[in-house]
Amino acid sequence: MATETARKPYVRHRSAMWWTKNPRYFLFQIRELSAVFVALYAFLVLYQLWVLRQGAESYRAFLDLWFSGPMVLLGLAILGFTVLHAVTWFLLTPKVLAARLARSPASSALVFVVMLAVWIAVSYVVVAFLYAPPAPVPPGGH
Amino acid sequence: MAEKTIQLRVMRYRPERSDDPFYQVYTIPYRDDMVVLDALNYIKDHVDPTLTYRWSCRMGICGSCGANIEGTPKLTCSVFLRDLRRQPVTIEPLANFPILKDLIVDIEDFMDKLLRVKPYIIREKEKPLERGEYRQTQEEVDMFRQQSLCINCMLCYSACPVYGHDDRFLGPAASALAYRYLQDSRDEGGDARIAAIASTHGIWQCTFVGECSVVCPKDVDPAGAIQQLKAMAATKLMKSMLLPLASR
Repeated sequence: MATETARKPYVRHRSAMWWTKNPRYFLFQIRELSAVFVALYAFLVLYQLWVLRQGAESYRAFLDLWFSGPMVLLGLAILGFTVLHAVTWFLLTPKVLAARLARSPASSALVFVVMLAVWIAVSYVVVAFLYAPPAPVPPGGH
Repeated sequence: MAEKTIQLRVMRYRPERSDDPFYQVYTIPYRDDMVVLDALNYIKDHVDPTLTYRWSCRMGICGSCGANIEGTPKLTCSVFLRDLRRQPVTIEPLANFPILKDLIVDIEDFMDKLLRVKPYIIREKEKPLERGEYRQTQEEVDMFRQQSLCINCMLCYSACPVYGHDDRFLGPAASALAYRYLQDSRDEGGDARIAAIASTHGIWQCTFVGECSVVCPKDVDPAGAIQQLKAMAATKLMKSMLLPLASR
């Protein structure tokens, strides 16, 4: 038999601006937003490859656009958000990893520092490869 | 010396009198050794006996006195009035739960979620009593000890924006409890438990905001537990795809 109850639960409405009420919620939203910029960069690189295939003329036009003021600003924004994206995820990685070194859980700081160091090292190798002076043509070579 | 006073702005909801919650400000005398719960008890005893809230142990272990203090979920027995700088101090029921009366929220949904993760040791076959207890090494206990300290205070649910958005989400404490049993060397119910939580509204709905671990009064780290559950569920899925026979 159903019993009569005076219960009248009140469900509160959550404000659309909930993420502005706490700095950690805000950082979370920024971290999520940063993924959009990372994806945008991936699309730009794909577009660059596609333009490259269209021939030298189109690629020169693309480069003019690429180094124009607004695009440089966009590039800086992408760089900033990509660094934020990487660093915030590196900070969270120890929680997912649960790496155990010699029976005791690895310290979060150690995991973060190792990942950061590997990231910087890989970036250095890539940059060194891209900006290395062209190798001298061996004598008799083409 | 004049008595020190403090202003508390408490959210009230009296379903028998009004349709909506409202705020009521109380000014009460206080001493430096008083916590928010002492202030609520003072109001109840000396100012307004209609104020309703849950509490029991007064020492941060029963998990029943949680409320949002200045917007952050906390145990009211663990926050000293002297540490609250801004006045009036706003005290509201835990966010993301329906309010039943004043600071009391409906915890039924949370109770259902706890049951969903099968929070007990599952054995394929119990060994006979005369063969003694199931013994564990200290390392085996350490694998789940942190997650076993949960006091079901629900502060993590109040801090979780994902649960606030969609209450079908399993949520932090229930997930941490699932992790606690999955990591227990005595437990053999792993498959059933992972199947119960690795669903759309299970662990995969978590977006790793991490606030649950920040507000947890017992350092249970539900956010970490959920991410490790995701890794466990993904590994299990990959194994069953790559080695379909071995995973049976």
